[in-house]
Amino acid sequence: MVILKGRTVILRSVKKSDLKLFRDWRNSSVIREFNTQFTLLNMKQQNFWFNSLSDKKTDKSMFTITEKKNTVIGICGLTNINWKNRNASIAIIIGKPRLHSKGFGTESLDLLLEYGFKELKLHRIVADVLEFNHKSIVFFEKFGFKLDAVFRDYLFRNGKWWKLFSYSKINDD
Amino acid sequence: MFFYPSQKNYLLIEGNSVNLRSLELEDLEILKKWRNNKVNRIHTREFRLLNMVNQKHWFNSIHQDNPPKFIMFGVTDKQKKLIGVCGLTYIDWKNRHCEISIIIFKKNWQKSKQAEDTVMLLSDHAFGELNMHRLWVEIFDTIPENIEFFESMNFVKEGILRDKLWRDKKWHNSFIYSKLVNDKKYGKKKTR
Repeated sequence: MVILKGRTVILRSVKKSDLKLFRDWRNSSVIREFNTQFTLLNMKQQNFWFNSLSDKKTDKSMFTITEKKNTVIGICGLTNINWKNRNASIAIIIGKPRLHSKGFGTESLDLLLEYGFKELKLHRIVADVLEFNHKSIVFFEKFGFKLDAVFRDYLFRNGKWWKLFSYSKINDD
Repeated sequence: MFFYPSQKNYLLIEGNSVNLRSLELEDLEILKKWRNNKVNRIHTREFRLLNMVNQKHWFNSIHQDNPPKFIMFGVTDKQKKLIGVCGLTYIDWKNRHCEISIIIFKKNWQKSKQAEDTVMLLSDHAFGELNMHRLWVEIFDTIPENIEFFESMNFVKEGILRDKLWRDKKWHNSFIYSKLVNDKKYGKKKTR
């Protein structure tokens, strides 16, 4: 069981009992808005996803973010891990809106990058952000992620086409 | 929007110098040979030398989804000889984008009329028939010929993914090119 400890947060492995919370967060409009997800998730899909995490062939390494008092406050992890080319994508959600902008995301990403670069020995970590997700753009730029590409008309939502910004951070950036 | 002028029937997709037909199991042997060829294999995402088990596994996997995530074609010349394989891959039916995949079984195929024709037929099929909105292609910097080819076909550079690929002792960038259905410039760039 991998546990990554920060100053105020802990990243621990995902438990089945976290799934209902994750479902509710991912289905909430404030969080769904910034994901490419276009259906509401149910527990069947959540369980399927949870089981896939312990599959030998998984390309994900996911963590539940907890506060020091063990309250679950979010989820984060590395997805699309490519061992040959040593790259992966970032996924990070801080659940409750009232916990946003309190430094929990910053601390979690710090731990995650350290884990990705120093433990998994990745070379390149990707953050894909939709163009209207201004907070995340500022967030990843603060960490030194660089804009590699702008995918035109990548996502259709609310009757319009939107761009996807593909950011990346190289191990020695 | 552009439609390829000479599409006459749906048994085959007919172009001026090539036709697209369904890809068959029997085509995999020659496809394997060309994918393992030492020039071609350094330019693709594949890092293994492929055998027929890999090929058949792939062939099965592209028939798993409905609607399909992969639509592959055999490229033939007008004498019906198989001269290449192409297709639309990673089809996203919600956001209406997919990748173009193409290999023609000869050296310097990027300069050929057949390659140009194949990409035009694929674009036409993607936009005109499948109602795609965006066609994209990822090209590693190991193969400037492909970059030149897709630039000449009026694809637009969207960016460079740094150090995306490890090959032959070093990191390589990949270039992302795309074409939107309403991009004004279409087809081969005019050269004088």
